[in-house]
Amino acid sequence: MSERVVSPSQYEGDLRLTCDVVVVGSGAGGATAAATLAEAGLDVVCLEEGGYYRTADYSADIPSMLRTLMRNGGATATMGRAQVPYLEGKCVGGSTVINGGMCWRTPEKILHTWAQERGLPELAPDRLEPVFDEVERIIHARYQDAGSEGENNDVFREGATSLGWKLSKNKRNQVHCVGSNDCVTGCPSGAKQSTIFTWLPRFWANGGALYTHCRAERLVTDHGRVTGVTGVIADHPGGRRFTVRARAVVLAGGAVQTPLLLLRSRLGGACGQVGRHFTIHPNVKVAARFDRPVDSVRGAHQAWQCVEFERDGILMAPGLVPVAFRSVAFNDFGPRLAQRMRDHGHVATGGILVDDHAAGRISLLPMGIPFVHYEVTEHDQARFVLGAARLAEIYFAAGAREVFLPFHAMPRLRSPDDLPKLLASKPRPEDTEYFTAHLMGSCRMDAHPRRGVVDPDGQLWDAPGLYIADASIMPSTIGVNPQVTIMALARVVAMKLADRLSARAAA
Amino acid sequence: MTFAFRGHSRLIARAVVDAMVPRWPDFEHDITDEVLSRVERLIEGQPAAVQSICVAGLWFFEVASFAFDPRFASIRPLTTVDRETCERRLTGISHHPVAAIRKTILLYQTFVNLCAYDLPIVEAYLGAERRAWRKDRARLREALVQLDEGRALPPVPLPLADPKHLSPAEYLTPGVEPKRINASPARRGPRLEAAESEARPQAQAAESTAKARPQRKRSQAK
Repeated sequence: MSERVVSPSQYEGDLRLTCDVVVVGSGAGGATAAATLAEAGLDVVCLEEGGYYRTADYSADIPSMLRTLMRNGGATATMGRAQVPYLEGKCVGGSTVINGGMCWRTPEKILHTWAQERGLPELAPDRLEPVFDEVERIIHARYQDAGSEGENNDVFREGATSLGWKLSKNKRNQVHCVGSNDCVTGCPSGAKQSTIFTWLPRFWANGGALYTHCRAERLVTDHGRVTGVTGVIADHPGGRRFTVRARAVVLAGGAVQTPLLLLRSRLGGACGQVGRHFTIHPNVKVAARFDRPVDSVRGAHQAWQCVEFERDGILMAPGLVPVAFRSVAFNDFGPRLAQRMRDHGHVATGGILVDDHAAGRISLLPMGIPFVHYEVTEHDQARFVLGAARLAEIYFAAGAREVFLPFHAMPRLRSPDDLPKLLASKPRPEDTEYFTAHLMGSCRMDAHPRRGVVDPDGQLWDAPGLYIADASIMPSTIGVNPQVTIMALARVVAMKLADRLSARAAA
Repeated sequence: MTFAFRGHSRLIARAVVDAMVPRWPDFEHDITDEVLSRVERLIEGQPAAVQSICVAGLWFFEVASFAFDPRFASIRPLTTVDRETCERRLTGISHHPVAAIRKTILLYQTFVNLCAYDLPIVEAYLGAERRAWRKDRARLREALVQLDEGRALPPVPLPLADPKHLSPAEYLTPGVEPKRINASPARRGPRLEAAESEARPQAQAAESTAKARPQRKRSQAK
């Protein structure tokens, strides 16, 4: 196997290529689709806007890594009454390089809904099960090595267990995660199995080539059929451009970039659904201070989840992050924060994830400025408050002395006696600090051309030759970490496309 | 394109960072300038519009922050007051009941905290020596991956590490070494596809291949 990664310094002038399929993006969706298509014997080019960085390139300098691996240095946010910061990977491997590595299959109730209400029987649980099996095998979706979880996970588990609440052990795409606790800025030990270690080697082994620093700007059409993609060579001087012509184009830039590219190209507009139904799984952070030490350096990011309130759409989990990220969780600065951070060795951190019912929208403002709009609904906000109260209960049950909340009006609980006050306080969305990395559903799949952007094959209803294989085609929010779902959908879309192109070639 | 605060904007930025960086009585380092420089690098990674908003935000703090000082001690610009007053004013903004006002400072607060608490001297002061831990873990993982070369591996989703190699109680102990047992060639099992130790030499070979033949198999259009 050879890694065929081509950077702009390896060729001169503009880049012009022709191939069977061009895939835009190399993250969970793009790499999976590219590998699947290449394995089917097709000539595949994969384009990535960011650069190629491997384990040795992931430094301990967090600000530098934010700039290197993420769009806008990680400082992107949805607009609305509350701004929700979100992360998008911008590097080979995409967001699989910067995620926590959680591996959850799409819940069966969600798949049933997609099959029945969206007319997508091929996404029914029994049809997707072999795809999930294969994805999990390829990405090494495993439980942590015994002993690698660390105290931040331990206190969470102890608290939930003492309350009698149901816990679920996380599978993560890792090979000997040794508890480095630096998932978000690139795994420093090489344990996390981003697409660089899983799908892309399959892609390369089957003749695929990946071009870095290619920022797609427009799709190329010919008599109504999409026949390629064009854009600029990013981060390199000289105004160089690229154009790749292909029999089919697969978009996998994620739930924000994919609809923006469609809107810029004026494609997919017939249904009026491009950029709509955008969901983000907002989450909020909670910190708890204990008398006993809680190691904040050593351990796995998230080895457990509390699924006791899963039916209410609330998941709770510990979340170990480096000290610098912890400093952001307290929503303070200067001497007061310094005082709290001095106790960091006694602090546990966790989060609450809600499967949101809101529907955000991605659009283009005049002059092509992207606008990502999202409003947290009252229903979702009520679940955040309930979830924060439940997570605080877990920490108090484990012996916490105080719990820090993401609500401006009620930033701290000193005992379980404060919980009723929290539940009665009804903090507003604009007074809540959210965060997310789960962006979904802005070009949803549907069996009816008026209700969705892509058909059950992943092809745009009104733009033949153009396919989408990323989180944007999810017909609804899923309530769990999305990378396995993205990979499964991308695998399905790519297998169908490979069959179609192969059949056409044979004919 | 490089970004740097210039002229009076730099003075305001320095005052803001100086008020936000952590200080402890027994911590003798002045990290303000280093943090300011790192904040500039983070802003450099933002789109031009966001860079402009960052600078505009500084001027808002300069001319209007006096209104948010709970003591309302002075109406002088931010750059002319002492650090304590500066910190009080910025705290007043950060904890203001109106969300839109609080948000004006959130980006700076986030950037300064990330850049300050990530500094090795701050991590060392707090006893969170992340850099040393990362090195320790990379070494341990390499050893564990090497051990896997000589044994049958469990299927997903089972964990990989054999407690006989590394006791769970010791797993997170710095400097721990896994024990080599039962590594006879007769028991060799399936290799990990993704083990990085295997992939690294291939990466080097691939790089030279890619340089030599960047467009094998597909045609370069004229």
